[in-house]
Parts: sequence; C-alpha cells; structure tokens
Amino acid sequence: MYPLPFVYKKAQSIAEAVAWAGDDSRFLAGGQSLLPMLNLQLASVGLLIDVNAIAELAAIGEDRAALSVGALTRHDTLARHATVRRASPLLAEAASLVGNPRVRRRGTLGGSVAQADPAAELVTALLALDAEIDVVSPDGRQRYTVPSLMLGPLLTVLRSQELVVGVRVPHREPAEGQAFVEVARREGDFALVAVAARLWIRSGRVARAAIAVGGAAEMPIRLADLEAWLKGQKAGAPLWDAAGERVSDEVRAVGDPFAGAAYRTHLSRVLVCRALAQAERARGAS
Amino acid sequence: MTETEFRLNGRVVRGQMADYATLAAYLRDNLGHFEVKAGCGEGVCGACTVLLDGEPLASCLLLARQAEGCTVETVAAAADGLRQALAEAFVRWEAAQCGYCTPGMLLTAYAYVKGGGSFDSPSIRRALAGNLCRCTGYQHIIDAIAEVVSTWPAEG
Ligand SMILES: Cc1cc2nc3c(=O)[nH]c(=O)nc-3n(C[C@H](O)[C@H](O)[C@H](O)COP(=O)(O)OP(=O)(O)OC[C@H]3O[C@@H](n4cnc5c(N)ncnc54)[C@H](O)[C@@H]3O)c2cc1C
Ligand code: FES
Ligand code: FES
Repeated sequence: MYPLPFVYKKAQSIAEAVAWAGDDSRFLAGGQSLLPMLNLQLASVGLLIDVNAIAELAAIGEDRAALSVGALTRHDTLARHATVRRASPLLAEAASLVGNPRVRRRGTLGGSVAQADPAAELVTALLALDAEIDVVSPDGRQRYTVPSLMLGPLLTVLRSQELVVGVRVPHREPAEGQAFVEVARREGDFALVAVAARLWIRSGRVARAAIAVGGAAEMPIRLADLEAWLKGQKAGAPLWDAAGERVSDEVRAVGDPFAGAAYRTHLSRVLVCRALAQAERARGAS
Repeated sequence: MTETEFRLNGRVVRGQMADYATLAAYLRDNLGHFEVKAGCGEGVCGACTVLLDGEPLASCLLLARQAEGCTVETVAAAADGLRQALAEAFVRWEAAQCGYCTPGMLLTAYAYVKGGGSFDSPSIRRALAGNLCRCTGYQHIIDAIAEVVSTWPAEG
C-alpha cells in the first residue's frame, strides 16, 4: 500500500516548518490521521513537513493563569502527565480514551485539533475547557478557540501555512469538578458520543456549568442553554436526571452506519447525566 | 529517494528510501521482512506492528524515513528469554490459528510484559485493544500472555 508520491522534509524549528509550508504542503505530526488518508489515497500532498523533531512543540508548562501544552504532546503523555492530571483532569481523561494504545503513543494534541474530527475526544475536552489554541504562520501569531477554529466535520479555518503550536487551558478551580465520559462500540474505537463536563457548586447550588458533547452532531458542541438552565438550581441526582432529559432539545444528532441519530441522542442524554454526577463527585479531588 | 539508516533486528540497514514509502512497505517490499504483515493500512488492525525504539507502533503509519537513526524490531528479532517464553506460551495455549495477527500480538505483548504490565485480564485486553484477531478469538491469546506475566521474570 503506497501513498501517491510526495516529498518529505523534516523541520528543526517552528520558523523552518512555517517557511517551507505552501499551498501543496501539509504538516506531519503523529501521522495517525494523515497517513491513513494518504495510504488509502483519499488525500495527496506535494510536500510533507515532519514537525516531530521540533522539541519546543512538545513542552508542557504552567503559569498562574493556565496550563500550556505543546502541540506535539502525544495523547499518552497527556493522559499520564502529573501536571496535566492535576491542572486539568478532564483533558487527561479524554486523552486516555483516544483510539488504541499505538495511536495514543504517536498521535498528538495539535494533530487532533487540526484534524477536527466530529468525535475527537480532545477537541470536545478543549471546547468544554474554553481553551485557547495558539497558531503560528508567516503572518505571525494568532489565537483561536475551538468555536472560532472549527468550521465543520474535518474542517477548520487553518490554512496550510498555519502551524498549531500549543494550547492553553485554565487551571481547574477549587470549587470545580470535572468529568469526561464516552461510549464507543469497542475499546479503541472512536466514541459514538463523548461528554466533557465542568461543574462549580457553591452552597449546594450550581454556580456554573460547562458541558460539551462530541460525536453526536457535525462537530463538538457546547450546550449553552442547558448550562444556563442549570445555574442556581439545587445540585444532586434529581437535577442531573432532569438535565439529561433536556439534552435532546439542544443536540442535533446525526446518524451514520454505526449508530442512528435517535441512538446518539439517547447516548447524549445518558452521558450528560453521568458526566454531571461524576463532576459533582470529583469536586475538590485532585 | 534519500539515503536513510536505521537498526533492524540488531543489524544496520542503510538504503535509498522513497520519501513516500511507509516503513511497513519498505520492510516488506525492499527488505523481504514478510513477518511484518500488511493489513488495513489505517492503523486499526495491528498486523504491521513493529517496535520503534522499544515501543509498539503501526509501521503502516510511519514513513520509512522517519525510522532514521532509530531501532526497529520485528517479531523475527533474535529471541531473548521473554520472546521465547511468549512464543512458547502462544503455542501451548493454541493462541494462533492462521497466524496473521500473531507477530503484532507477540510484539505488543512483549512491550506490555517488559513495561511491567499486570496479569489481570482487563489490563491485558486494554493493551491489546489495537490488535485484531479474526480467527483464534482473544481468550487464548490473553491466557497465554497472563501466564507469561505471572511467571516473569522466571528468576532474579
Ligand atoms: C485506529 C485509530 C483510531 C483512532 N481513534 C481515535 C479516537 O477514538 N478519537 C480521536 O480523537 N482520534 C482517533 N484517532 C486519530 C488520532 O487521534 C490522531 O492522532 C489525531 O486525529 C491526529 O493527530 P496526529 O498527530 O496523528 O496528526 P497527523 O495525522 O500527523 O495530522 C492530521 C492533520 O493535522 C495536520 N496537523 C498535524 N499537526 C499539526 C499542527 N501542529 N498544526 C497544524 N496542522 C497540523 C496535518 O497536516 C493533517 O492534516 C484514531 C486513529 C487511528 C489510526
Ligand atoms: S496494517 Fe498497519 S495497523 Fe493494520
Ligand atoms: S490467528 Fe488468524 S487473525 Fe489471529
């Protein structure tokens, strides 16, 4: 099995990668989405720019405001990294559910963002986390959010010269509980539906909620109406159940050969309920 | 074509590699390493698994040129004690029928045991989640690996 011919070049710096990029080039990170498409000749490319040797793309750090994760961070590293697990447990959990172990060893956060799969765990997590996505191009630096970056299934605003360099995620706050849950047909498969939830509870009432659903619709979505409805209500199992019931109004589920729209709507309901209950329990835990 | 060099099963391989050749294609078509199986080409089945610097990866999703300077091991690498123990356990448990998935299973199991994996079935299943077997069924494979984990290292 051979891709259509292309030229391969390995960049040593962000500046070099971006300078080489042109209309007929693509960046190669983990290759776990791009190489399947090239192997099956569903995509072709003139120049493949390997960014795997760019060490500064793989850094993980934090300042007072946020955790910063380099675009080249492998899913497996994200799932296990002590700083990530503390500062953003939801992101670590999401990474542990991506694909199979080989995919997690090789696939990257930046690749996942640029690939923009409707069921991508990491994109769903970043959407719930209000993450900022840093991109470098010949025109300089730009900052996006998931909604400003993603246009549709496998579609982003990124041009071929724009390199995702990293992601900034706010630290989990003391009053905040986080959860990430999904249902897939088998271990290692893409999620049919995945839900990321953040919940702030003060004096027994919901102070704030952030809920994102991936896999159900054309792209991961935030349940803004449900988040607003939850605010001020008494926290607890009856509320999570009631929240689940309201999900179908907001999720416009689409079907595919693996699962119909009705089943995906059902899964969204169940998983939102489960995620909220789990986020409530996770408060204060580190 | 670009001159590229890596270590394969303990030997140095140096050759002209097409930029667009995957490692799986290069190992099979140029070097005759047919123990690296050609399966799905999309990272799902695990038949093409090799160890790249000790880590199980899909060789269909790596370019041959990305192996530059790395160590690549296939199931035909010289048998150390653990490889031998796994191969014998697979035979004892009849953990192979057609054998197409077996190289990938053995390499994944090898890295799992070496990495200190535990012998409980859920952990083994999770480690093997990317390796499909279409005929033996997974139970005997898992039993074989569990047996090796529980007796490894054989002594000190
Ligand atoms: C068997 C299998 C199962 C999988 N299951 C899942 C799953 O359950 N959930 C899931 O979310 N994903 C899954 N994936 C996809 C996997 O997560 C990929 O790793 C990810 O989608 C892309 O990351 P990558 O680093 O491999 O990117 P690549 O494949 O290298 O690139 C993907 C695309 O992004 C571009 N790109 C890469 N890096 C950058 C960057 N820094 N800046 C700009 N553009 C960039 C590339 O040019 C390309 O267009 C699976 C893959 C396989 C093979
Ligand atoms: S052939 Fe590489 S994973 Fe199937
Ligand atoms: S033994 Fe035939 S595919 Fe596993």
